[in-house]
Amino acid sequence: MSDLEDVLAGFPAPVAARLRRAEVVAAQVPAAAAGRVAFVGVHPVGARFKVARFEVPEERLAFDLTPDLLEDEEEVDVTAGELVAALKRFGIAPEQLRSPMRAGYPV
Amino acid sequence: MKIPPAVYKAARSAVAQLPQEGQGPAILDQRQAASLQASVQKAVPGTSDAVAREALALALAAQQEARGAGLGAFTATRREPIGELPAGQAFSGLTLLIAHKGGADVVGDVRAELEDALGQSVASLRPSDLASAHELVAELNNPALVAELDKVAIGIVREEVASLSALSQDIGAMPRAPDGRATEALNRRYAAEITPRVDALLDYEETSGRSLRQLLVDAPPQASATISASAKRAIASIDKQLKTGGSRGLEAEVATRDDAEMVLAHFATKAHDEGAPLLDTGAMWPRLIKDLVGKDKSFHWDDAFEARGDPPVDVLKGHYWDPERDGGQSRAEYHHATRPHLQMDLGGRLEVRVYMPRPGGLQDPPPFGGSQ
Repeated sequence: MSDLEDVLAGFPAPVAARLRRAEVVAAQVPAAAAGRVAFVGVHPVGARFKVARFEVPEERLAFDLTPDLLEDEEEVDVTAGELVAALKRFGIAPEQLRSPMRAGYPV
Repeated sequence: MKIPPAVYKAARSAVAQLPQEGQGPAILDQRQAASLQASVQKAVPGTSDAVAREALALALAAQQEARGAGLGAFTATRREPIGELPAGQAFSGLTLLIAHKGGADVVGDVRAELEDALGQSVASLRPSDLASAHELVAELNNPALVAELDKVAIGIVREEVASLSALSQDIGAMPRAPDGRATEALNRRYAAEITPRVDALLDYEETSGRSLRQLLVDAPPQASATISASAKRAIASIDKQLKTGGSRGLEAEVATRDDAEMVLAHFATKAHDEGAPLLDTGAMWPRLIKDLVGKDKSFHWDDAFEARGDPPVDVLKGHYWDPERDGGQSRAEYHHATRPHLQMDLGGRLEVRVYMPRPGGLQDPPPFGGSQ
């Protein structure tokens, strides 16, 4: 089994399927300040993953958001083997991830 | 009025007994129709005339398709569940010309078996049926049936996405606040009319393990044989920025729409060759793109303007435009909202915008850096 498959074995099946197909998964997480919402997104790029966390003022969710409208962004570029640790760093577990719409992921 | 699976199955069995000799069309007379109806009612006692007739009409249509007579138009236009067809209308199917081609082929057998398993004709499947249909068929552990359902699902998904795309544009065109913010009315409509349908497609995606995005990607792009100097410069500039890294928002300039098409063909071909083709999301309103297929590995054209503010300024539809914001807008925000562009989302949240000249005849904003 490849490194990626080893890692994905610990993910919910629909999430693993999306990542295997190089599709985004995301989760909503607690924000640092009131009046904001925060998200973590996992973006596969080739054999690597960009894991991003950002916050958005609640009222700004009413826009078609572009990256320049996000706040407090952090992003790490990791291998499959580092993915779970990166998620942990942002305070989430693999089972919290979902398809972007179901997480309300805005970008 | 619902058609119970047992009734539909009985109708399929009755229809299968029809003579198949000859290549020409056959017409069912009233005697044959009455005989078929009696067969169904005998097999499932208590079945009403209307239900039996409706089941027979659907079974005939399914048989016609299974025998290769083609049911494309039927499939494309019928979305009612079996039980919601107007009574009497369906029975007119018994007077249809039935094209007997002589012997069901293997494909037809699989389709018929699939319909038996589902208890309904594939023509009556709706997008919201796909997830449960997949679950039901998967339990039978018959790969041929799963493959047949997958084949049917592609058409249903594509049709549904086309319909959702048109609806999303309609909703997206509703009036907005001057800064581009969606109104409550817009959000309510989106939540009521779009979200449940997207949910159904995502249910199917998660249940089947098939990617909506992959079901929607068309044929591989064709890179231009010749490429203009302007397009060449833009490609070189984007490649250079990609190598430098560090930014998620890359920009390039071209002189014309044709140049931008050449740039698109170049990157779309590259993405296709790397196994992750770019999906054309141009028919979808941005929120639908994010909800349904995600922005990564997609492209669209932003070239439709709308007037906003007082005095009015023509800015790109749906784009963020807030010149009164504290601190002002950034240069990137200003360009993004005011200049037509091709946007390619190359993956990993990397956005590439290829800007074209702003058309003449628009109500222009003050230049960037001026009193916007």
